Amino acid sequence: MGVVNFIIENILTQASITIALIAMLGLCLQKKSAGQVVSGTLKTLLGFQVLSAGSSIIVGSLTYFGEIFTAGFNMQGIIPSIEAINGQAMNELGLGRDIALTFLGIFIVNILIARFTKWKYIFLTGQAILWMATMTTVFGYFAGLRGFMLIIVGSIVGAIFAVAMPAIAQPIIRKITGSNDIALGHFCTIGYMFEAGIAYVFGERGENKKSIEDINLPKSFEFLQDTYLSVMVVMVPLYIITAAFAGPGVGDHGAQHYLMFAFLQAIQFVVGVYVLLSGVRLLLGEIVPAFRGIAMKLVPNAIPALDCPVFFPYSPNAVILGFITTTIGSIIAMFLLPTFGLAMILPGMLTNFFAGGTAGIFGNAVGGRRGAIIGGIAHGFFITLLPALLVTIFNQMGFVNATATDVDTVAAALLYAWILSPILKMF
Amino acid sequence: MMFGFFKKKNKPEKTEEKVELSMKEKESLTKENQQTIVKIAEAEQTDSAEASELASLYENLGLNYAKLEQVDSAIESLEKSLEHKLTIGDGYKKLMSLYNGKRAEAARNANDEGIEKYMGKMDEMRQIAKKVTISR
Repeated sequence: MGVVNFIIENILTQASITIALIAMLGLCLQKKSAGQVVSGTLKTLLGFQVLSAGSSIIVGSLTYFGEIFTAGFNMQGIIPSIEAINGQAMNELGLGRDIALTFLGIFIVNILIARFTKWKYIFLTGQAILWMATMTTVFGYFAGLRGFMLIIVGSIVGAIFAVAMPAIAQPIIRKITGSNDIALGHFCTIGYMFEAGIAYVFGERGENKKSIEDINLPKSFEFLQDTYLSVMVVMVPLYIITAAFAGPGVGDHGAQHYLMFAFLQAIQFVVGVYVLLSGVRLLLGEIVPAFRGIAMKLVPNAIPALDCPVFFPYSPNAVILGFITTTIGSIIAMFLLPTFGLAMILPGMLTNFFAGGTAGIFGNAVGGRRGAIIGGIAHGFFITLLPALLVTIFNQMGFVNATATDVDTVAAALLYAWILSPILKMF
Repeated sequence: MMFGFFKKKNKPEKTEEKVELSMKEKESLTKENQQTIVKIAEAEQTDSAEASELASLYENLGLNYAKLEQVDSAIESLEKSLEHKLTIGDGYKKLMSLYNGKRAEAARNANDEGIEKYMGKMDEMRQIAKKVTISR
């Protein structure tokens, strides 16, 4: 009995072990060789530890940024980063094991829905499922769910999103690609449908639809190809300007000049994102191929829901237009939301590019050029407003200066906070 | 329907119609392909051949093979086209859909390796799309 207790109390409570065991399960079910199972399991374990290390680096830098922002502008400035939320939830809040099991649960329930209903979508973007599992776990925990219930409810809610989001986007995806072969698997879909709706109301229709003229992104924007460079290009000026407003003596800069310190802290944030995402890649590198193989076999007529860049070739100009208009919208929201008593949400370039770009395709498909422009600006506003609504809860739970990005995960969180939590509190 | 504006107004569900080619069309496509193969061979002989020109020759060849339903040759040509120059035109889209078809076939035959292979190839295609969209 002592041994069993030891295993339960000391080993299975470790998130890294739980997630490694999930990978092992997947690899065994795929009948991989013993060597592949061992190496895959260890890689996953390593991935989790790398992710944790990245998270502590990010938290250190964000804590400093919170201090200088409050000192400089007298309000809270929040960085939208789902990576930072995931890292903090997995480590600092100790929800890693529950997130890992919910991740597995979402996958299983998704397969069940696809197998037994007419909705044949299998959501294949591993990172997005991890973000969804993070948000359902964090907000389930906030609503008072614990243990088994936390995981089950999260798996069901997450899986419903994993099927419903590709399904509601599919009529437009069919229009864009001209076929029903593939679907969109990216948890920013509510934003895309929002842009499509705005584009429908304000855009051009039928004969009057104007196509988007050839737009090319200036060469200087090629930095966007590199995730880390694009984070750096935004973070460095953001930290330095904020530090300049805060003045010397804020933050722990010691003998170093405070602006130099701010510069290095900005770089430190990028280092954290770099390490964390390398961890995520290691973590998912074994699990995702194993489970998508299983899913495809169990649901042979599945429609794979794939990550958004797959759809860029159908309308590359709309992607660029979407990126630009979404960025404009998010900057407007940044200045406008604080006047309504909400926190200031700084623009996230990565979300603006991927979510904004894909939203541009939707806006253009529904409402032509005018639809894509008006819809894009509205989209930028929308995807800044939703995360702003979560800030108070994140603060209460002890998250440091960050909020989530992908709006479907935010919508799931609001579902917990506004509907599930009040219901649970009645009993 | 969740949103009114997606209501299909009595439009019949668009089925993907397979265009059946007549013998004549097949012959002319095959002929065109033979000519393209000759052109490619000539272009590859000369060192000065432009990568983009070779890419577009292979792309046309691949698209024609796809019309003739010679899937494996089509995949081979379209992959060669991308090796010469990364583009996201018709060839890219066709290749993606051929990979997805292969993936579906592997899934029906419960062929693990096939599923993994073509899912991996679809991952690579996603990377190409991201790269080319930014730096056109």
